[in-house]
Amino acid sequence: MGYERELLKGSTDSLLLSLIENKPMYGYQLIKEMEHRSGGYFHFGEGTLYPALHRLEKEGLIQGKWEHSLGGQERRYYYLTQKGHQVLVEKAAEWQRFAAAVNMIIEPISP
Amino acid sequence: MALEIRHYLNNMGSRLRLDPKSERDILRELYTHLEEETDELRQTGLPREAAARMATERFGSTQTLAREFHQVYSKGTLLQAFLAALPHLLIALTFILQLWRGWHWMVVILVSMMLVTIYEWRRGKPAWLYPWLGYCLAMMLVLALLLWQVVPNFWLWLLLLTYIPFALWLLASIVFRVVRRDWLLASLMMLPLPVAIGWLLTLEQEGLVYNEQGFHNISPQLALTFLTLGLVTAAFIRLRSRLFKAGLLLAATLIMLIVILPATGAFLVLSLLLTSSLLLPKLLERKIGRGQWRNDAWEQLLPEKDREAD
Repeated sequence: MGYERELLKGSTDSLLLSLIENKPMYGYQLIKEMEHRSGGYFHFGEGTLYPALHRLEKEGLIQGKWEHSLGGQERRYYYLTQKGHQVLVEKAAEWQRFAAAVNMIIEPISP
Repeated sequence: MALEIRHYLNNMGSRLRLDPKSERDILRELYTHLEEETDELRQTGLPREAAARMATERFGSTQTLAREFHQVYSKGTLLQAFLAALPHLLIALTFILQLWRGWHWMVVILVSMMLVTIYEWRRGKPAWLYPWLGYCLAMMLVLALLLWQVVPNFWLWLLLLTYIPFALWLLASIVFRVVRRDWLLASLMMLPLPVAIGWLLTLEQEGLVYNEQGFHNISPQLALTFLTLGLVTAAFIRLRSRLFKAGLLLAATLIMLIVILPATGAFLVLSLLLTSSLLLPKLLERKIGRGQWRNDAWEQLLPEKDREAD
């Protein structure tokens, strides 16, 4: 459990940017989407999510806008910015290299 | 709105210590989340208040969450640090280049400070504004002290009797408002006040208040004092940790004492002024409480139906 939390902590920015890249989302929606897409493996704590979103916004990677949801309620939707897109591409490439390297070591060597 | 949610967000509002717009956005955003999560939990059969309690518990303590938000917003950009230091640097420049001899320059600086302060106060009160505000308050006090020095006559007494209570009322009301937001910003704001009064007392003791040569002689020390204030202010804006910010203000107070003391005999007065400018806001905060949202004013941002307590 602690290991998953550490993994999530180190990947928070990449995961949030990836989710927002597909479509603009608001906080609660992001938590649900994360759980759904990871098959329940990841759960963002509410207390972690919002400071992370505001930090990404302050860094200019995402932008929050108040809009009405389909149900008519006001929600703060987050959009990926151009800068955010570039950072996401870099982070995704870095992750691929990292995951490939870990796999090469962890996976058993075929005889 | 469920009482549990209202209580949680009021508590959060009193801990955030950010600019009003950021606080508004955060409280509104947390509110929409808590409401949606409460509604979802109610669908599992939980009563409203129990669902609201569970939703707020999932957010964790307001203290931790507010600290996380503070970490995000507390560090200003280089531009904001420069803007915060600018009034100190302008005053330092006045003494370095001996510009105080020309009243035009002084009028331009003082009027600019007032205009910038009024404009930014109405626009959103960014953290870099508070040193500017401090100078406006210092100006008011220095003006009262200078008026006091002028040969008294009936009209001047009348003016003083009107001006001094007004100035004190304005000073107190602004200090109270800033303390409610963040006592550290209030301390930063008040830093020029004891410095200006300290130097004025020094000049008065030496009989040099209206003496150009007197001003000329202590210009390097005056410039050094305000340059130090500028550097301290820029560092304050760039620091993230509240503890370091408080430590920096304490260090600045000690430096001010070291710089000004050799020139003045008013050791006790100056020490008291500097120490009180640092500690008074913290003591005031304990007395009047934290939070900019008096009477749950942030709730006015929500649709009318959401404001009513369940």
